[in-house]
Amino acid sequence: MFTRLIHVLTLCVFLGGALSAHADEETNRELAKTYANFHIRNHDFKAAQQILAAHLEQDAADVEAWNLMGLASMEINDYDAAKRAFHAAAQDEKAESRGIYLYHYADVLARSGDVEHAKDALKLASQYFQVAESVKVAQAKLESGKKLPALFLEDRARWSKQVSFSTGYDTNVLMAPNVSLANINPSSVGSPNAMLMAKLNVLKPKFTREIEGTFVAATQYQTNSNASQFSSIYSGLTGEYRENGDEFSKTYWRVPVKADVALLNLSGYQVFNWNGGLQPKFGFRLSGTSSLEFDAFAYYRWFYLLPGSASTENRTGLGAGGVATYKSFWGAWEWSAGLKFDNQMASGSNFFSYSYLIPIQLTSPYIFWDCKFSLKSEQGFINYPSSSYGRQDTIINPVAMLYKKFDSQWTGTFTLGSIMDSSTVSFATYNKIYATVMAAYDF
Amino acid sequence: MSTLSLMLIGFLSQAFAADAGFVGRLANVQGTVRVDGELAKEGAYLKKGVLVTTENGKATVLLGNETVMHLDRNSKLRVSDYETAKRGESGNIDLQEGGTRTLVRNLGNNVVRKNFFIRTKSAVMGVRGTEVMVTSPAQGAPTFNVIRGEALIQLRPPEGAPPSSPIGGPGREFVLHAGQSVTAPQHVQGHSAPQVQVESKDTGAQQKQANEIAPPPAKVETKQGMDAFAASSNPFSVPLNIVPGQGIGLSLDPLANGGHLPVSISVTGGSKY
Repeated sequence: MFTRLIHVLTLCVFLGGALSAHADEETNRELAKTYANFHIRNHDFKAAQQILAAHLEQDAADVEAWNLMGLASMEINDYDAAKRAFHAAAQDEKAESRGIYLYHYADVLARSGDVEHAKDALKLASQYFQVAESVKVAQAKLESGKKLPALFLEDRARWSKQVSFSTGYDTNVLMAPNVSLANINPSSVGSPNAMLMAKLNVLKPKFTREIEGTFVAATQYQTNSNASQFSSIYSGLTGEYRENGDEFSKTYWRVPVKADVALLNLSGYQVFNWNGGLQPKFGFRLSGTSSLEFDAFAYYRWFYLLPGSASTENRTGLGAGGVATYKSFWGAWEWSAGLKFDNQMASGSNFFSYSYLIPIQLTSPYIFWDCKFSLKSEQGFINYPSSSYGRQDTIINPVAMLYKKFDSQWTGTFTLGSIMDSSTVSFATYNKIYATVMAAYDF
Repeated sequence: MSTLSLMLIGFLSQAFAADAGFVGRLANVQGTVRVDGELAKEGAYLKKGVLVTTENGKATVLLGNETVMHLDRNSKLRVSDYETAKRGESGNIDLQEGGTRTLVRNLGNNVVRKNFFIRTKSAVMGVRGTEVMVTSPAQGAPTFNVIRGEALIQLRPPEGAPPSSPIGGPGREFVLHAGQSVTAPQHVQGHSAPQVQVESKDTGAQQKQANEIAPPPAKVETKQGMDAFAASSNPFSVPLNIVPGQGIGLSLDPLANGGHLPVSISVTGGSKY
């Protein structure tokens, strides 16, 4: 009680001298935030504390700066400073985000063992719709010396639109088998390509769950020196309902649903297919930095069978399988490795297959020139037990991507990938390398 | 940790930075940004006299603890001098080309800042506070805008004039208030008063124009917000069956391509079946 009284008195002294923000105060506030954000981005939380403390000496009414001061202090476990800061932020009863500040105040009180005052702060916070749902969970999980569950804000649906253009080169666009390469000019199987894609995305968070929908339409044009021009039109729709959980929950889940349609027009010759699938995913958090995920997937693929083709070539059918993936961090690098099984139950015996694959992925933080880097690879063995050719393939499919965000709207991606398919059937063996640059604009 | 001790640490780190000859840091680096011709990274330390060039990028120069200069694309800015002192920081900055949205701390208690200058090829802006925008195109006259506070504009003597040439005087010195702007003539001839017009603008429109160089920082309210700010979200989640460079959406197979699609005829000269 005494501590709270001291806090209140201290704040009254600050607030007593503070007037509402004038134009010049707005500049000072923006300056403080710019410097503090810079230090936070560089994980120098002490420097952020210093700059905010100096600013708040002059402008104690800047509740946003108090809250930022509290967050920076929490990052370095300076609970005393965080307590003072969140308490000061929460004093302005008219502040738009007072519920958030009260929640943070309750959090630091709980961490430092003051459960009674944390309860008081949560009770006050529960009046604010923005945090009310989080408060209910926090009240149930409140424990001395422990942090509160991460704060999730009730939010409106967010729409985003993106248009992107990519261009590149594929060394073997026709997937010509190695055996025939000796008979042709290699450039005749290579092809430049260009793709235009539009994407519409909507995300609706609801407490710890969210639902996301994406629609993509794309067209790609390719040609090679044999004048085999072809173009693809593609459209797809995905939806995903997920429970991200918070840092206290041991599990999380997501249920993605997707459907897509593709049409390939090859010198006046059309191929059409569509896919629909469901891939529920369950994750178990093993520690703060590692998790184990299990995916079970089922899909149906429809493929247009050319008139006159043998029924053994029909790829239409159900598919099902599963993936177990271990995810962890290596310093700031995130990596994952897994085991994947896929049974494609195509009605045509030449395409009925079992795949045994090892997917791996490595994602970097910013490495150079503000670029992020990702390396994915899927490799393994595919068996076609009822194939009339006795087909068995070994595949390696690595893809490296460099990503750079130029500003809030423009991003660029460079992709370099390869597909190496080695088959017991000579004309099913092929290798290719492809590279593209893509520019995307977000509205 | 008390505020006083934080201030002390701040002062000591400031003193350390000053001892090392650093006057600022580079922030918000986007695209190609160079310092003295070398590619620069986020957080780079800046010494007196360095030339910051943004080329096709943008960047923010944080000087001491009181001045933020957001640089537009294709800007060249030399930090000729910058000093930190207890009673306020001072500096001389040469904007050789390009544009800047600059904020300087209001010292409070009606203290007028008199020692922070942004120099262009034909005029100098003495920034008294607190938000200004200056554009100085490679070919053309520089324009000075005051968005908040006040500034003193002085036309510079013509190239080749003796160093003692007066730069002030009637028609050569203007005080700009919030919402006002002036375009300085490219070349000032002789001692006659040049024709310079102080314009009053809508401050909202002026602010919008300045924000195009760099908007105010995003609001960070929660830990998640801070984390998202510190490390942007994973950009590699590509939806559906699209990997740029691969065929889109079609699960093609060499058996089908080599054996059934007519294209194999044009490649190999005959069907393999």
